[in-house]
Amino acid sequence: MAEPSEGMSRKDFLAGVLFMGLGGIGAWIAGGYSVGTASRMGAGYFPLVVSSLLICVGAILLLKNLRSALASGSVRRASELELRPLVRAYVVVLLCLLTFAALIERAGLAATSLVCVAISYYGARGLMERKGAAWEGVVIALVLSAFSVAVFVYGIGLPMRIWPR
Amino acid sequence: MSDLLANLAIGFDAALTWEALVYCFAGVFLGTFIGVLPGIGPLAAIAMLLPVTFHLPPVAALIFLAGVYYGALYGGSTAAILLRLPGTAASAVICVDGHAMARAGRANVALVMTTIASFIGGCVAVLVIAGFSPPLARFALGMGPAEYAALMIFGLVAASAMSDGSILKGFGMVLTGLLIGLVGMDVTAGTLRYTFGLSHLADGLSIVVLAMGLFGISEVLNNLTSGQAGKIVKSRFRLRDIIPERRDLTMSLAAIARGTGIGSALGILPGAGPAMSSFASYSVEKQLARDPSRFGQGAIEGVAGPEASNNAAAQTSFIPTLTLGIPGDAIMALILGALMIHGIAPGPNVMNSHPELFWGLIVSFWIGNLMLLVLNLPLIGIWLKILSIPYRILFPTIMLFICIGVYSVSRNPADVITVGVFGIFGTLIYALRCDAVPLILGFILGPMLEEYARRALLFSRGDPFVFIERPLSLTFLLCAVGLVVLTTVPRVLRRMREAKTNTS
Repeated sequence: MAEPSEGMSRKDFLAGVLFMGLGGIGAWIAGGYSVGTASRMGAGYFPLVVSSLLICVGAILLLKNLRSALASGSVRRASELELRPLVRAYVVVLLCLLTFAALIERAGLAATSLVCVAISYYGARGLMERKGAAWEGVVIALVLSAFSVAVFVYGIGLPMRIWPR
Repeated sequence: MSDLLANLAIGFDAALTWEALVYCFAGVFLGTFIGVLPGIGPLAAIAMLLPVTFHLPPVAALIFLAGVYYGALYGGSTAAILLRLPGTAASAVICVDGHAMARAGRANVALVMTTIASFIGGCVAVLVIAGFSPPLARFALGMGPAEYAALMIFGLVAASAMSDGSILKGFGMVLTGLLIGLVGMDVTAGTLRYTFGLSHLADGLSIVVLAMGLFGISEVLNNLTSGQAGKIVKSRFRLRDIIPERRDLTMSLAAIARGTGIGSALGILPGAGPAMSSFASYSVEKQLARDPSRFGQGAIEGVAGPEASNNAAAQTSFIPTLTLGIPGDAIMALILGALMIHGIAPGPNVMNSHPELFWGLIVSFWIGNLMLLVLNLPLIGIWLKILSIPYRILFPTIMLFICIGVYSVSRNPADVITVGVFGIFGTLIYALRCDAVPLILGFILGPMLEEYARRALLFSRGDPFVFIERPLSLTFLLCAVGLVVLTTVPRVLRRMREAKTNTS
């Protein structure tokens, strides 16, 4: 194994920051629960122990990599990071999940599948290396919608609404 | 010995009827297909098919459910390897190296090896059940809360050591998992913890939500943003590929043997054992490997060992359920429920009062494993076709299946949004080169660890030495310390040596 590179060291540094942050939030919230004693642990005892350990682990990671992280302080060049496909991917995935969550109870599985497949197909179309024909998404949406209803509801009997109410 | 043979003869009588064989096949078949669907694991599969068994005779019902159980376990590994969509903790371990193998065009090898590994693991574990059920059950019963807590701490340390990169980051991920596992109602005090005022978090998070987010969604996001959407080297599958190459086989067999041993032993311990089995096997393989850096890049031992271990544990976890009436997890609780519906009270007497049921089940386990092998080796060719679907079609399909799978867990739309949150968290920790697998084990063991530690300290009146005074508990803790030393010392020594050569 090679000596950890500067990039790796900065990642470890940031992981330390993340752990300290999570542990801090955990401890802060757990402060509101009753702690109790070791023989009678309250709701806050175990969370406080876990959060404190997490802060310690984070602190060690942070201190260990502090020097090298500061030394290679230059910010990554903007050209390395193409922001637009990144944002687009996150928006498409989250939009699909939100749409499913919003529609499934009201519109039923058939319609919700259609919409979600359409969103993810056409939303991510620009990110694909090879784009299919424009009508392809419609066909896939119809096929997947029929497949889901047939397999999940009729096949294995998931208790789900199929049609809009 | 002659007892065992006589007992097995009773079992073969019960399990080799046409009826039992048909139900065994139906269970394995349905279980595999349901298990392949992302997000729908063995628990959901058994819960869905439980009503079907109400009108069956007890032996057939149990054989059917057992078939569904390990069929679904196996199917879950398939989805994890091909699409990185794990629905259970065990398949989260499998997908690390399994999916790496798939990306390198070795999906066929990975799938063949999981089939063989789960067959061997299952068969050996069946022998363990047949030979040693009563003493093992008594042993498991003798473990107190201190021993369980120490065992879990050992498991968590082992999971930290299995991740690549520093063990510190592994600890961080385990602790993060423990914290996430605490979300929901505290069982003892009834306090709502870390729910942020959201009512759907009161029951805690489901492993499906967590695993689908951390692995499924974050994989999709990484694929879309890396500009090489789902670039997987296609692997061809011909009939002669069923026989694995010599090199893969020799590398796997030792891993399978060790995994089977670990899984058989851990499966007996209710709750924590089966969950830990695949993690434990993975870390053992990584520790023993001549070149541990291969792990995570598609090491076949990292697939074969955990799969054998997982399947062995799945079989031996029936021991406490059947002989003591203690279900180790939700799945075993369902199977226990199925027994009670048929008027059978599981417990120490089940072997005497219903020998045909107990031994019939054991023989059917073996037949079921054989069916799994026969059914799935030819099916691998079909599963591999999934990889040749272009990503522009695969992507919406995966998204839809994740949505449906997650929603089906508790029919709560809010879960689907939570998956998105964990998906983003997953890409964040991926960018920081942290491993999500230890987090999963922390999440599962968190509530159990708290409960056992709480009980141990209650009995000892707050005296922490209870963990050291009890020999078994001390052994587990020493193993944990030993593992930390084993993983850190070589690295520190190497760094010191390097520093010396640099200065001189």
